[in-house]
Amino acid sequence: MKAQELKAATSNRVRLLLGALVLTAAGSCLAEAERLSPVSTTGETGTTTTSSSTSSSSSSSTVTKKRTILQRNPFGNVAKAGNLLMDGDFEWISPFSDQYGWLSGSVQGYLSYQLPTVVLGPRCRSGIKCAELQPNRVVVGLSVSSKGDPLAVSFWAHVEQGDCTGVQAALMSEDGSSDTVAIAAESTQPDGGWCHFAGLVSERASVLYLYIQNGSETVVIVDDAVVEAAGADSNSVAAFPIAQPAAGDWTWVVEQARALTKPRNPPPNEAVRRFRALRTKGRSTL
Amino acid sequence: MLLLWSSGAQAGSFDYLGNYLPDPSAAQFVDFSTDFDPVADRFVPADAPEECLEPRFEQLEAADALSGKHLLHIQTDIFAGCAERFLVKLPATKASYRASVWARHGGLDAQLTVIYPEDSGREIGIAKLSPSGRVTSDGWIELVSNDLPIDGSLAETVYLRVYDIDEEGSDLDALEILSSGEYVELDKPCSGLGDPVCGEGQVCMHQRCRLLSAYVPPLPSDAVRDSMVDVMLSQLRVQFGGRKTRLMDLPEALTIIEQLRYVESAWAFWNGYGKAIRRLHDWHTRLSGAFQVARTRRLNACFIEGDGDTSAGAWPKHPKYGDILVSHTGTEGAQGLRQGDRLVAVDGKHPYEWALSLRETDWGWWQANDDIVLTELAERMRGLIIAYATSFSFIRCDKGKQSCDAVPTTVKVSALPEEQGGTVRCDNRPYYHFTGDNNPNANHNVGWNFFLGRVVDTQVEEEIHGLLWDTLYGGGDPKGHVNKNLTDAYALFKAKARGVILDHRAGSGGTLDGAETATQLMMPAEPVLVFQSPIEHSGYDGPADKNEGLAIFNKFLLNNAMVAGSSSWAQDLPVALLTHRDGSASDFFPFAVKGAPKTKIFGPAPTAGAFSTYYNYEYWGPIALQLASGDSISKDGEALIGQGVVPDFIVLQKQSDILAGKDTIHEAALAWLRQELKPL
Repeated sequence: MKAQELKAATSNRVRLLLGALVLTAAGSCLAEAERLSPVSTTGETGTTTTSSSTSSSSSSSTVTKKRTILQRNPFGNVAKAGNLLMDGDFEWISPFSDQYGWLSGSVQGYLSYQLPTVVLGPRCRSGIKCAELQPNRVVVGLSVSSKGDPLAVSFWAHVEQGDCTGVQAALMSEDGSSDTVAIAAESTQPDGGWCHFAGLVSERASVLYLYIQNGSETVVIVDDAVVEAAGADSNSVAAFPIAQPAAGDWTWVVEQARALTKPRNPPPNEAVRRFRALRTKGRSTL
Repeated sequence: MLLLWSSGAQAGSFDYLGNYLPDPSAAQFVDFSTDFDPVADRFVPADAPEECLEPRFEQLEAADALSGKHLLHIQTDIFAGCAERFLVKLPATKASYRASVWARHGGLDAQLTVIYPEDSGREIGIAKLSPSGRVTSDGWIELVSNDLPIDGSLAETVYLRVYDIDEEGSDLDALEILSSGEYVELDKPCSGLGDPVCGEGQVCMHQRCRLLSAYVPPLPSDAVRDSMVDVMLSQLRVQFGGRKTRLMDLPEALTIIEQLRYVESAWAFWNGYGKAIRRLHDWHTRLSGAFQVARTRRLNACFIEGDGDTSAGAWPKHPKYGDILVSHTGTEGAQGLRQGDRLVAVDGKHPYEWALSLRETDWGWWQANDDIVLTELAERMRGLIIAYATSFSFIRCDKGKQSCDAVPTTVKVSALPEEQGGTVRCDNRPYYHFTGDNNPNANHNVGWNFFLGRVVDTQVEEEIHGLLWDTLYGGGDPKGHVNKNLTDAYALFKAKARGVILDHRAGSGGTLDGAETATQLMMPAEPVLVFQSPIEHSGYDGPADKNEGLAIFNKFLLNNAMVAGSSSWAQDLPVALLTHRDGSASDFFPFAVKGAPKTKIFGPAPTAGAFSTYYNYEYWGPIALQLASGDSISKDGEALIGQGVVPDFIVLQKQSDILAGKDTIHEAALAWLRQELKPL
């Protein structure tokens, strides 16, 4: 391995360790659908050892676990069957996508279909995949609205440092007929690193853009975003606060998102071309 | 209670401390520690490209390896087209196996591959791996495959192939190969689609039974399948389509998805999902898999819908479907077909009737939104025949004699020579018409190119020029390849031409700006439609009447309109636009110019009517869903999806013309232009 790659691998490992510490602790706050089946055992300490534990007795308080095992639904948070976002759980994200349900970009910058960084595994709130945002990066989720219904908007963000105010979010309408509203964290203090953002929004008349910005100085993970009709039977979202108007000029987001969702049938991107080559060229590709 | 997300056997387990315990019955377990030699256990195919020879992985000692003290860190790059392969040693017996491996960090593609000697007659076996749902607190996720029968006595090489799909690289550990049951004979010869010799999860393709079930993810377990089906149903109800596809096609798809609650195999589940998606009848919408089924034969000819006038006596027209003619062939491998021949039957049915039956099976399905348009099937016909047919029949014709045989010739696909040579492109153009070297090459490789020239067999003083191209991917760049080529050509036409032929007969769409630019020669600037994507409201079926449509048009006029034309359009220049198999932006373009004062559209059938765009959803495997969402509303308030643009002059390619070296559609356009030439 080249020195640079080794450094990168080591760096990855350090980052992974941080994630493992956090997520073991966060194991108790899985999304509702995923609480069905944790394979956790009692006595978790939430620590990671540098070698397999050799403790002789499980009754000893000194027993440390190397890892815990969880069961995740690789299809994501399927309990939210009525999600109006295209892929709120990021489970269907892939570099082979030309046009995906999330746009990404930088704060006050350009949006594109370039994908956010994909994170795999238990660092995610639900399912197997989620998105990682570097500081000053944004993602914009594409959503339809629901005629006649107010909307319940929510997502989870995991912060490495600081509180939940490092992440900002807003919901805006494509046609500008409604105010852009802020989707605020339910608490400024994260729970195991996770912040839950939620808001009730009055009926919207057009396509919606869920804007999420990492305004912190460290990496943020975003997962399990939901926009759903808050009908009469929506007990689970009844406690959501009413979203308040968001200050600021959001025109750039709406204009760019609108432009990107106009008809397009692009040529295969580089990843797709390579992927197809791997599928079709001789034995060396099998 | 333990609920699994994917059905089927899991591999190893964990003790209460989280140490991995491989399944003691595993046929092979590799923890990439002392049992792994980075050199000897790496497999590099003999024909691997040079840039892939250098190992792109490292065996690392790591305290948090899932098993043992080592793991592999993989750092392949999809952009380099390289993968890593690690040998698997299996008993020299016949058995079925499932593979499992643990991975972490970024995205990873993994598959178990079995190579048999080339002279064994056995096809390469592949099983794709997808998440089981088991994850560990330190970041590992388990990937598992469905069953793959392997003849260990015959296999030359068995390996795990992996590549990571991001810049981060991936860790890999604890590879297990588990015996999963009795061996099932594969690669049995079969005689076409539906041959009962092929078993569960197998499809007769290219004259052999292909095990497609090994390519799809595992069956979602009973615990989550209902929820999965609910999500699949909701996704389509909420987001899919436009007015026509929602009202006419969506209900069928939903019915099929409902039935997935009760299926009992991974193949039945995912193939059923594919069937449902294909029922959506949408040019942009498809579900694709990573099936690696190599073509074993070739039919190096292209088919188009036309008028088989020369062979009408030998074979009557079908009451419903048009005649299918050979537009052109490649230099080799046409299997006796010649330009101007007529394909009259596939497996005893009209070629269209036969091809339409493949919707149940063909994961490459591609169909126009407009119900009466079948040109996509004609374009794909050669590939469909080679893959799925038992036989095909054609009427052989002679260009020199301008006549055809009285009876058809029937060819068994299995009798065609096994060879995989290249194929000519099918662009629905039997001939090209520019002077000099300005035409596409003999391979009909139009691709992303533009061809500009003076039209042959015209007088210099007539100044009839043309442009031939297939892409409208402007990409939002007014000076980019597409928009610049169009504007440059149009500038030339305005300066010099007295008549123009725009040949866009394999219009593969692009972006709205490309379509707008393409209209700028022919009409004054005006908004012709508005477009909204994704669909505006959950479950919105589109405007119920013109008044509702007009309200939508007015609402989106400011921000979401297609503004066609230009203030500097060529008001006295006649333009003939040739269409044939056109969709998406290549629908928008002819839609806008239809009715323009000096423009006429010539073609055999409407365009696809694919007035939308799409979004990608890609699952592991990879199972890839491309789903259209949204509709276009005309300035008259009509929802446009499913309504292809009908040519002003519906012109079928005549068999007699092709045999005489003529292109009927071009000739019709040229004749019209000559009556309309711009005054000197």
